[in-house]
Amino acid sequence: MSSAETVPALEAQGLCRSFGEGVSAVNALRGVDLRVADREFLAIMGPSGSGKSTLLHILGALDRPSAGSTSIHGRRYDDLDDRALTRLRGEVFGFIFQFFNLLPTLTAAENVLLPALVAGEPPSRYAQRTDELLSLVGLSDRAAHLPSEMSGGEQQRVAIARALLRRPEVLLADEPTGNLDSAAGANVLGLLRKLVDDGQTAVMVTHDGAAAALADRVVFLRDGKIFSEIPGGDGARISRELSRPPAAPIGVTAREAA
Amino acid sequence: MSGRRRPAGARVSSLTGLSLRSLRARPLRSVLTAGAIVLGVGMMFGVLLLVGTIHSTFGQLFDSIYGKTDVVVSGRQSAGALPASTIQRVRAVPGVKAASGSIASIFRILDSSGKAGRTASAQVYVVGVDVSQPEMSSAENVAGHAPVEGTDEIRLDRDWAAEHNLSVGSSLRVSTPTGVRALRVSGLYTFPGGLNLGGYGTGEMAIGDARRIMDKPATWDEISVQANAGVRPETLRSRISAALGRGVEVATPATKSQESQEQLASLDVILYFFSGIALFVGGFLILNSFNMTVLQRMREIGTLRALGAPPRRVARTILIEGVLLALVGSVFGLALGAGLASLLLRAMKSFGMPVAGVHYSLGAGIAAVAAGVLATLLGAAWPAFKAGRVAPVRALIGGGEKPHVTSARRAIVGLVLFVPSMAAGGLLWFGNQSNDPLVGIGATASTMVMFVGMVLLAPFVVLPLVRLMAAPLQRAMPAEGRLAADAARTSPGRTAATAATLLISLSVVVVNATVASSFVGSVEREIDSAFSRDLTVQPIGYQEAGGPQPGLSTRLRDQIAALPQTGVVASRRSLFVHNLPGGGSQGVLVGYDPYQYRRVDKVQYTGAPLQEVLRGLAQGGVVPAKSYAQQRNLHVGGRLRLEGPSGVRSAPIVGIAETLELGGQVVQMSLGTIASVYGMHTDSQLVVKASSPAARGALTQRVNALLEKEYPGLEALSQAEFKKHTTDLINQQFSFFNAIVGIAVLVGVLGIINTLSMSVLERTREIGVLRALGASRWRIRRTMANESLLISLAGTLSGIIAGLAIAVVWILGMRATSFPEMSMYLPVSLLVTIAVLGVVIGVLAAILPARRAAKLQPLAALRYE
Repeated sequence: MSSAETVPALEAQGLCRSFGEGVSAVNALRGVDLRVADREFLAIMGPSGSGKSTLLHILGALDRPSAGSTSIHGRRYDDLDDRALTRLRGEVFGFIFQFFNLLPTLTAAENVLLPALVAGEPPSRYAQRTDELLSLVGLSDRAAHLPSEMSGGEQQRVAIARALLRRPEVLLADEPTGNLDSAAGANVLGLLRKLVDDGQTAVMVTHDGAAAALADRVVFLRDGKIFSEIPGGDGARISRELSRPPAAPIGVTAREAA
Repeated sequence: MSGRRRPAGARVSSLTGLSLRSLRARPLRSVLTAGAIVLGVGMMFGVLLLVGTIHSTFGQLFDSIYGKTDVVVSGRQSAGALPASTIQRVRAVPGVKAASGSIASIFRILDSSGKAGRTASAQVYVVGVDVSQPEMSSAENVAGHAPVEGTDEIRLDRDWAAEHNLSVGSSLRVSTPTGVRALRVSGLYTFPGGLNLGGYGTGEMAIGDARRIMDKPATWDEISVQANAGVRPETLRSRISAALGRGVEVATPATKSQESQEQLASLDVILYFFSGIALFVGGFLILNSFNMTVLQRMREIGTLRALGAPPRRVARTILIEGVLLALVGSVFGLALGAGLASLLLRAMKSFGMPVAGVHYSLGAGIAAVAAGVLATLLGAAWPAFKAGRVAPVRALIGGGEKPHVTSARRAIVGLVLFVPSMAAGGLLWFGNQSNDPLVGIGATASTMVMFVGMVLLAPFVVLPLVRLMAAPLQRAMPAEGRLAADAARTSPGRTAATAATLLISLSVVVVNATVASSFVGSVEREIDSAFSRDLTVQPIGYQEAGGPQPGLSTRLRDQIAALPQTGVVASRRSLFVHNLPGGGSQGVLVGYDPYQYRRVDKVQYTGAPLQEVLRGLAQGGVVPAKSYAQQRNLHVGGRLRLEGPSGVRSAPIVGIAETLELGGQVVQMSLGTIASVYGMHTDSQLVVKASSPAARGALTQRVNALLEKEYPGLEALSQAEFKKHTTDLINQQFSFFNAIVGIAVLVGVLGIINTLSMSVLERTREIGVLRALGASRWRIRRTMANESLLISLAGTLSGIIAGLAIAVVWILGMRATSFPEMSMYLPVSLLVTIAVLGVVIGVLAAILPARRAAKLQPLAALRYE
């Protein structure tokens, strides 16, 4: 546990998010409090519909909470306007997607360079950084290849390099191994672990216990609330947590939330 | 930091590179979208070149004939003739150094068998000038000498002479108003600035010979004046003007030239409008195409947004794609336009308009490309805006909701745009006869707004039509029909937008054709009911509302009158003017002997009893046609001020003529009135009635024999031929405009191909399943063809419906305002042709996408994500 004195890298308080209105409204998040320390690797787990993706979207400034606040290194960003959120996404967060989301018409190197291009920055400033990142993810020899010429694991490593280009304060990964075979998945996870060991802060959503086991800490989400929290590294305990039945009927939780 | 511009393996250095890549990734769509720009820019450029050529031809003409002239004296806008005495009055004005009068006519060259050529290059504009006066044009003698009085000599333009193998001393056999003449070529000249009238020749004769041969004994068509040294042309112009009074136009060559250019302006606007339709439809195709691209690339765009791309930058990548396409398309469009221009010029020439070879100008190219880029940017603007607004979350969830296209709000906005702009468009196009280009611009603007309204309303017509037609299709081909109908229905927005491109272009064609056929039908009805003449004698290719015409000699009238089979010969003298008396619109002044003409044609008069009208006309009264009277609020008992180069008078309105001739833009008067006011002493047409119906055949034979022998430049038309001649002129004009709109229909075809190929892409998985279940390639092709047919038929039928609806409203409006005698006649054969065309387009448009779909391997199709 991080001490109360130091400013957390990422902090969320009382996050709520509902979709739709009236009777058909869905409450995806019902008051989530979360702190991620600097250089910490946090995994978020939970069954589908638990709200873990919604939480990640809000943490990554892709979406806004209905209620509650988010801050990064003490700076609030839930109340920022679109323009500021856009800047935040480009400069402060690095996002990794389940389906890689590489642009199919761009080469590996160009995809890595993309965040600089979309920010309108001169590519020359990032030329060396791109080379270094491709070498870091072990794809120097694939720089000029198109995504369609690469395996899934390679594509995800390009995506990681892309997320790191502008030295984000927090790396956010949404099921980064969800679309990979186990070997490629292990490779990607090893890479993430190494990045955190070298000082990167990272938050990962996953439903894969083995993946979560590599994290420093795992929080479990159920019905839009944090249900439990354990340190990482203990694969057996993670599996146990995942298979625990709900503590209370859903109706009760809903009434509590209200 | 590194000195290198790009990292290894990267070639793009900005988002422009990304735009270029994404265009390359969708070659078919890029080609089709650029194709729309090629067609739009091509037609725009073609028409701009056409307009430029017309203007430069007239500019050259004025520069050449007034090369050494300071002031020109003529009838208003060169209509009518001046009395012979005017030249003395001009010479008496202080500051006039020299004044040289001229008369003009058109001769036709005869071939070895004595037949007159019907082409433009068989015609030569001949002016008769006083050769003792100084040269007023910029012509320079290059061979021989000026024509000598009393020798029937002619001096010719060197290029035209060369084309006809004529040189100094040759004999030129021509048909003239007074019959066949052999003229001796006395010399050749050229204009240093060059003058190309698209085949027409020019020539010059001595005034005495010209007066005799042209049968213009005592008038001047024009007087050219040179000023004394030190007298400014403008000063001299006002002095002469003050000396000659009203009805005479005194102008400097510069204002004369400008005036002629201004008269062309309203034609220019109409041409720009029709050529602009292709670009409008092209812009709409671009809108549709980019909408599809944005929808398809939702995940990619979401990713850009998630990586921190601001909306502006995302929108810009889409706009850059558009600009890249527009620039590439424009290059090809310019090439196409150069070809179209020469086709358009050929059509223009066939209407008897003198135009030179294509006059290329950089300005026209820039304007066409600018219009193409603008249309593209307007088309891409909305998709770009939407792309900028894509939520970053789309990077993860992909897709995007399909917009609801039949919302009540859309219907209301569509109607609010459509109804008033349709009314305004009809009023501005047909509700008045103004030749003010501003009216044309207003009409264009309101029609464009009307098109936008039609685009918005399109789903409400197209989608029910698709449903309606899907039913029989499914009965005929249960499997393919069902799949095709589903496909067309699952993306209603796309289906409606695609059909709308056809809807707009075809509705314009239908409106054009319906208005034309209503004009033609109404004119035919009038000819059938009111014209009881047997023959109309007139120059070959005669147009009442055209440029200068050779007149008919009094001798010919006497010759025909002397034939035993002739009952009556009545003269008609027509003068095309840019400003009819009492108003600002162009039209024709018609002179005839009321009693004599009455015995040939039974034109209805209203406002007064027949005998009073005839007596009034004979005594100097005027009779406006009903349309003109209604537009200008003219009534029997009122007066019209007639101001011609030979006289000015206030004439009583003695009746209203029920005639649709020349769209009812006519003021009729007696032969005496048109002669004394406008100096018209020669006949334009002779209308002949046989002494009895039995003599009709013999009369026709005798007149034709006379014309063939002595006046090969004239023709005698039977009632049926006259009707055809009249209606051909109307049809020709509308067909010319429809040909220009036709290119917009082609853009619509590209739109269907575009949409179908998108449909193939979207349904790759479905097609794979069908193939895996054993569907033949042929069956897959048929499914695609059916979808194509549904869209194209819905487009063509809704185009016909919309076109007819607009035409009905406009024609009813015309009946109530400008053309009370007009009735509605449907262009049935054209409507059927369009419907058949719809099927053909549907089948043709499916060929490429259907091949693509049929080629899909079942497994590859299933793997597609």
